Amino acid sequence: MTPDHAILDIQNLSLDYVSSSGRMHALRNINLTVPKGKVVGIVGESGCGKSTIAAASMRLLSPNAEIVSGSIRFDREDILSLSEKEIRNLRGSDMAMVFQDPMTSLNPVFTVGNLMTDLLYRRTELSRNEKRTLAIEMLDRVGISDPALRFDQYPNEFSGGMRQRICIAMALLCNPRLLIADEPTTALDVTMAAQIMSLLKDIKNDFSGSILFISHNLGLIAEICDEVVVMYAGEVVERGTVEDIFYHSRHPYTRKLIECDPTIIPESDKQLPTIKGYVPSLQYVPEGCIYADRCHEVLPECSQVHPKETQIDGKHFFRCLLAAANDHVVEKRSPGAAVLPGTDENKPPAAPCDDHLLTVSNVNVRFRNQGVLSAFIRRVKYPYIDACLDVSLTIKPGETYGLIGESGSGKTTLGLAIMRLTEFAKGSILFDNQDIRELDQSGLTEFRRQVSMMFQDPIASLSPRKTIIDLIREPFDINDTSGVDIDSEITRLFDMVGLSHSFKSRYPHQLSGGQARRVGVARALAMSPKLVIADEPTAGLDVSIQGDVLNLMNDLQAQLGLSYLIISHNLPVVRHISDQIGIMYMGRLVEQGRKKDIFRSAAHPYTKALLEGVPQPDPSKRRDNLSIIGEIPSLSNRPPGCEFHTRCPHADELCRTTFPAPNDLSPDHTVLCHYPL
Amino acid sequence: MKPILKKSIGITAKFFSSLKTVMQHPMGCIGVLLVGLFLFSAIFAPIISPYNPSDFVGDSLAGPSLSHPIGTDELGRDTFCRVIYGGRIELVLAIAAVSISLFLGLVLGMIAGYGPVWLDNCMVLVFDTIRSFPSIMLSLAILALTEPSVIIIGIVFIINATPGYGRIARAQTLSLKNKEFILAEQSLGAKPMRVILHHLLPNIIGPLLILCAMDIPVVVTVEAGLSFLGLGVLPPTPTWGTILNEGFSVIRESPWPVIAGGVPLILTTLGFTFLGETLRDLFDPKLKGK
Repeated sequence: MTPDHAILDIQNLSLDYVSSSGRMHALRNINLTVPKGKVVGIVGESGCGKSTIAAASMRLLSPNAEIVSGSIRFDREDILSLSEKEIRNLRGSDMAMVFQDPMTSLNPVFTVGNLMTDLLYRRTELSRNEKRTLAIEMLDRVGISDPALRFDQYPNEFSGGMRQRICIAMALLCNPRLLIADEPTTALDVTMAAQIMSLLKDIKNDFSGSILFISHNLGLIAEICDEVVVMYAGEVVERGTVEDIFYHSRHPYTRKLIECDPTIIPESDKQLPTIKGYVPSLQYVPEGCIYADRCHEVLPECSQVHPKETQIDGKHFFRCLLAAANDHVVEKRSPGAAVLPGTDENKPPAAPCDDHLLTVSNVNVRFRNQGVLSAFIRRVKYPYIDACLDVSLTIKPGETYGLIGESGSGKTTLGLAIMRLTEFAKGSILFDNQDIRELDQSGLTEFRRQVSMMFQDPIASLSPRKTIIDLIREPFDINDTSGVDIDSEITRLFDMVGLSHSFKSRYPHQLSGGQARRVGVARALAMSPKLVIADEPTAGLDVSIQGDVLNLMNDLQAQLGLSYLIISHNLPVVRHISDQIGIMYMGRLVEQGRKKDIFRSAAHPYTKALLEGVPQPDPSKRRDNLSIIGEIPSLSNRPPGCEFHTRCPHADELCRTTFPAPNDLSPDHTVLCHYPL
Repeated sequence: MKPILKKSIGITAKFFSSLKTVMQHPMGCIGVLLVGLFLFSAIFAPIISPYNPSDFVGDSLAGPSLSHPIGTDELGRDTFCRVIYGGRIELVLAIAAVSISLFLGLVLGMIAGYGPVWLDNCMVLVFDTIRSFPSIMLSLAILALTEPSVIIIGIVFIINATPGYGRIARAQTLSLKNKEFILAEQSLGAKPMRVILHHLLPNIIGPLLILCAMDIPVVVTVEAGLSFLGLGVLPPTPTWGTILNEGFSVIRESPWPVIAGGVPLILTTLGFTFLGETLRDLFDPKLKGK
């Protein structure tokens, strides 16, 4: 590989973070090249050093980072020896970056136009008007409608997806030779993410530079990249072309990572694959292979010998003793034969009994968005925002209901309403045939003993100044538990969720996301509830841990006969554990039915879009067209007729004027659409 | 008995380990030493001081000598003894006034923050009304209407300081109230008292305690200021304010009484401020690691 045609060439890079608690060997002997005009992806779990590589390439490292050895060359120029002024000249104009969170990466006090024309400060030959024209052209290119009008707006007037488009426009404005995209879609909803990916693909086609694309999501990597670098705990464990990685991967970590991707697991599997253990802390780097502790094919010598980078054919390198020893060609794996829609055999219904544990009928939850007085003065007749509208669903004992929707669709609000943590305006919620609105204080305590909730953020939902054992003891303190041996119960809970007893005296912030999630599960299950509401149980967790949490929830359901209401934005994740699925859009359930109805014969165009919005870890299954465009309308200004018509590819006059009546396709399958697919 | 013993040992160990971290910072070290000196001299005043503070033991306005380390005052009383005994009153006053205002502020603030909106509005209105009075005017008015004494000075401070603590406790409660862990506690069926005492209080009290450490010298200066104006503690009770006041009238004859009253005032203020700032830097998670 000659570095002549490499735009970015990193050789043997090692980097430490120095802090008062010691040295973290964050990157070790990284070799990576980004050829001209190609898209190179970096993939790995969180804490593996992906973003550190991006920061090092732009020399935007935090002050406590120290480069131990190695070189970074950008178009043959040594980045590490440039002066501060020279590197500043490169940034923005020759190399540009798109960050993860578009909500915070734009300066809120400047208009978009200001932010963009400022980038052109080096082009003194351009007049103000020419700069403006250039910026507007670029906004148009990234798909901002009415760019001339929106040029003078502030970032807060744009939605998240639009802001990410602006970030991309800003990055491309000076026509850089290298674009670094650090998890550009992670903070966005499924349909927005699909749109941004499609934009990046367009850019890739008519943009002369190279792209370094960082993501933890193999599906996105497969979709856009030409070459892939797999990172684990600060090392490149495997790199090669996208086909090498997805079809002929040699390193056990790469293979396991692909296997863990929820989109390729057959639908009938209730047991999801996982990688045992966690990404190690990099203060003490073991002598042998860094992955040895978690590897499922570990050899005895793996813990003593650090594997060298081995090349097989062309651009395919890996670091693994086993793969190096096994010289035989690994046959081409068919990556996930059955993806979406699934092909499972018909699973018998989970519970034969007909009683409903939870019945939600026509529930409306609304929030006041204007005070009494200001609504009166402005003559607003309806000073509310409807977060949930006419939601009806039932859950039987032992059943799992998956509630899917993008952010702002009212899923969490519905969960809170069921817990009676927020009031609802209309409708009724019956739990065990008892109207939860009629509960008094003691009835409420008893109700919350039978229904418990797991919150979205595993760490922030634990009281920060309590130890883990106090937190798990808490349900026993709250409820009347005379005659129960609390200590043995706590031991049982620790064992049940697989938490090490050494965590007992730790505080929540000392746990990883997966461990804190286990504490949340233990707390939710301490009182042996009948129903658990799980709000995004896998959000913020790595794929290898996601499976762990879902398996735990599945096992506990089998043991204890629990019912779950699982709230998520991620269809593939809930696919494996749900019996019923409901799709929420703007506070309404637009489609609900049994799992197979939804995945095999989705009837609502929105459901279909969500299903198609999921990228798959297979380069041969790249999506080429977008199923829906546009954004979710504002909840305070609902479109007339069918609320989805603004984004629906099949909408006609009837959809624009008339609200569709619920359409029963089968006894279990209801859809809110005039023309079910 | 055993678990209690174990717990108290744990608390002591924790105290010493945090003391060690504070001592590692130069500012914290100075703060701890100054505060320690102040506490020590106040607690052991009868043992340290060679004379009774109200006995006439020497010449009038004598300079420093071996028998009177910082001289004597107009009436021939030993200034050193008077400074040490004055510190005693300051200490009791400061600790009592600050803890009462902290307690009141915390209770009222948390009720305002956690309770219904109308109660919150009423209490904020009361807090702001009190805060809108110029504090010096308010103090002078109260003292003019009553008999000046240590207790009244304490009350004046409490009236001035409680709304401030209350507003901070309220703001903290409001920002914590909608955090996910409070929702999680409610979803487990926890009653309001439990949420307030077990989950809000530990998160609020830290920043407030640090504020208290920084407010202790304020009490001392308020006392000194009012006594200096003749509206605080009345002679012959020795306090730093009265020493300053008396010294001021004889400043042309001897500077020592003024120095004797002023220096401990400055040192205590510095000590508590340094200690408070170090504590804030160490225990505020946002500043951690800097």
